[in-house]
Amino acid sequence: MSVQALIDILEADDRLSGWQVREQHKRSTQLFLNKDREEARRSVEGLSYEVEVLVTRKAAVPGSKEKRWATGNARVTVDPGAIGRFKHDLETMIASAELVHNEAYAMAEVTGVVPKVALDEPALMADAEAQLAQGSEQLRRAAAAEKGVRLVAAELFADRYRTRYFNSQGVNCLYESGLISGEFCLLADSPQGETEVFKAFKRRRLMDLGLDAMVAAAAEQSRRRLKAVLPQSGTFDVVFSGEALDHFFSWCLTQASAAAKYNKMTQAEIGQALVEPAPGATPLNLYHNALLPWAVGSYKVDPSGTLGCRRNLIENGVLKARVANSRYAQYLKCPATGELGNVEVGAGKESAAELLKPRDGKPLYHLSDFSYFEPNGVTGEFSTEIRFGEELGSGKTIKGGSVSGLSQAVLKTARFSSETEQREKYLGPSYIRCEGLTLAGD
Amino acid sequence: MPKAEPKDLDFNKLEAQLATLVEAMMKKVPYASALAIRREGTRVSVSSTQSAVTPELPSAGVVFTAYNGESFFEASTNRLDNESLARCADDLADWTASRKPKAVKPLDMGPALRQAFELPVKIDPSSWSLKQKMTQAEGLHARLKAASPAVKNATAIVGDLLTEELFVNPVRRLRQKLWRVDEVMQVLVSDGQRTQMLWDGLSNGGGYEHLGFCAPRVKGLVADAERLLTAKRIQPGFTTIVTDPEWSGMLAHEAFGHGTETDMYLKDRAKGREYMGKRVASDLTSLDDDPTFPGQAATFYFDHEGAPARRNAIIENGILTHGMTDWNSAHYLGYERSANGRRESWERKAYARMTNTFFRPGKSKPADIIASVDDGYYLRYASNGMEDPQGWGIQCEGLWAEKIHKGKLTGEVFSPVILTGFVPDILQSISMVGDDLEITGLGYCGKGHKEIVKVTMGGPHLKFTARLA
Repeated sequence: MSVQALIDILEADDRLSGWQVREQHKRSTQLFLNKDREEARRSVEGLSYEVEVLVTRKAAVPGSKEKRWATGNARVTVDPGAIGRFKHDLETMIASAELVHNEAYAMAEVTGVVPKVALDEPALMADAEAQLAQGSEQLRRAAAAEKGVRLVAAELFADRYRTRYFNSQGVNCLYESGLISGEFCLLADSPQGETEVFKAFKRRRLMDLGLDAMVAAAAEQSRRRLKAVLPQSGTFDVVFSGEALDHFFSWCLTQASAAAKYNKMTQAEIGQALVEPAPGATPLNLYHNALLPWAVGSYKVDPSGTLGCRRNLIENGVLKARVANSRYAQYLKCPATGELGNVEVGAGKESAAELLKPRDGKPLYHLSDFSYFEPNGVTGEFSTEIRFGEELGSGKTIKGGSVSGLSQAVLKTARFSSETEQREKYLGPSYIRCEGLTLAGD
Repeated sequence: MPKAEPKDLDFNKLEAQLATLVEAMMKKVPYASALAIRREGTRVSVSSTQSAVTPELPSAGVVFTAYNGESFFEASTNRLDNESLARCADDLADWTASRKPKAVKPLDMGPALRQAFELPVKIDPSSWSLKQKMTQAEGLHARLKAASPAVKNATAIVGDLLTEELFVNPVRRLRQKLWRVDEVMQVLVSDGQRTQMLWDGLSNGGGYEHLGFCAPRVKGLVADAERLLTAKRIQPGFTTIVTDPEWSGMLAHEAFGHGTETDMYLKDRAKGREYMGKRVASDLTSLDDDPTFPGQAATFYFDHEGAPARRNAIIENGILTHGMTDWNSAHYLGYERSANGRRESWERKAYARMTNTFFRPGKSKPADIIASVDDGYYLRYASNGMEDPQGWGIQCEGLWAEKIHKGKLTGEVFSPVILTGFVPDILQSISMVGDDLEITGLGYCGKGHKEIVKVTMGGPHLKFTARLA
């Protein structure tokens, strides 16, 4: 039996107000290195069908005799061996959906032509083993070229997906995509001790990983960490770069999220200034972008059937639009953008060199590696242990201690570099200078 | 509700089939095994804005493992028809046999075992209808909403998960059936200016007899969330700290849980290896990893590599005594195997992973610990942490630090709070250990930034010094 068998059953059931099926065939090749030994190698093949049904009917409004239209949904994953019993499972799904009386909504409609966006690199799709061999060789060679460090562990995964999406509104999309991901760990030794630098990565093309440069930077970081000290304690300006950029705008994204608005996690309204830039600060311009070629967050159609797009969410610090999947777009009566893809942020006017200059004789910290950096989307608060940084001016390498702040306050005075970079799901300034953050160190 | 149909995946039939395939693989490679994992369950979520009933249909996959004398090779699939399984096993055996090892190191398969296990359940979750589960969640949600006008959104979750696992190698045939239930509550409160979220709940091994944990805690949770609306930012610095059992558990997990996963030893990525048999904590401190602990969410009978579960004493009175092994690292390090070879799913590799990890209780009354502090903070509501086993750094985050002054809680609350420091410094500063023990199962654990598995963590109240910010 095939996906068509599922669709036939769903189409024939007039109790459903909507349905969608997402068939995904995944093939994964995984390589695990322990120093110079191949510790393990794995291959995975999985086929699954994610099915969601909607049941819409009139239901009593709590506390009154009035009835209103309400929708219940149920989403399940069906194994390939279970298609034969799907008629039975559909009864369970409908029973589940009928217990739920959410505000009514429908499946995503066809809103245009399925966008073209590069997700499937031919070399990866054709031969994952060869990509892993090339990547692991690149890692080993790059590490061997670095003095004072050694590669102690690495993992490389090559994942290939073939996805078919169908829904009751006529959306029908087939696409292939690839991901190459992994991690490596370098260890630097000296008579004073050892330090490690761990890097995780994910891209759609091996070439975009820049493994040589990544290993070189990690090696330099690893060597410098041998002599690292704690930062001073107090309030200082900080320049963020590297992995801090991946989640730096989490609070802004929650403010712009239709789901967060509907669930009362934000009170921000369209047209409201989220960030009012102080003189000299870079005005915040932030986009949802699902169409960035080869970016990990890009897609043709999101899991709820909305076609990928690029949308300006925050313009000069003012909330302009919301990122909304089909359901929340209907609830908030705003255009659907699809689920959050990549975050694109407008660059600033100053060069990185300018941002990295200390002022007024006060220490300036450049921090790029953390235990885990992600501001709280609701409160905007962040606090993280520092894994690597530099006290500019003195040239001291920093490790340990923590940096804390409040996103909405920090963004008022933040200055973005004119240099930009593309990361896993981020395209934007490479350096962000923030004023008055709290460091806890020596 | 329709009457349940017979399960598609018959474990009796599968066991016989996997045994035959493993036997065939053993003709080509020095070692082979198979693991089948099947999961199904239900999750009901009721919030002020929307609800969901999510049945998790039975889903299963199989992992074949083969060893060529040096490395482990695996193939996984969820195509469980005879032909697909046979092809998967056969291709893997051929591939493995073609990879000639540089040096052969035979595996010790241990004694023969053939047993089926089932975690005790008093109230079988499958005996409850979806409607009953929904009613349970709706009741909890109503209590949360009614607790205060400041509650802008509240979510109540009731869930259950049945995991069935089957392990087959030339000397072992093991089966286990593990139920887990979750009851979780979360509130979002606002005073119009600030917004805060706070949560509590349980995740336990067993059945619906565990439900009812949340209801008596609703008022306290909402009151605490409202207090967070006026919480101040803490002044960074070194200070005396008292942790509640949840915070103690996070410390156990991040400090010496990850630091004693022996696959990290093998890669020179954990300092623990150098400290085996040495002092790493004050002599008041003992820490266990115990997959046999009754009724916990990470309790099981054998791990994903067929090692029988047993308690593993990691730290005894301050001395680091044992690590947590997966088979590969135990094999190459010459350590006795512990039951810590765990996988996220049939799609993923087994690594050395924690199970139920906790500090053992000591002799002090929690009230006496608070009373002993002249100036310091009482930490509650742990949220997340991150380890650095090689550098022995630690980051633990939480939402609540209450000032203690002259042995009394002052009511002055600071939030959020981050604890950082050098693990041996922190653990050697432990000066009082409570006589209480609580374990929380709400957490999950990643290896690096992936490989998420269910773990629990806990301990008694602890007193120590560390850097807070």
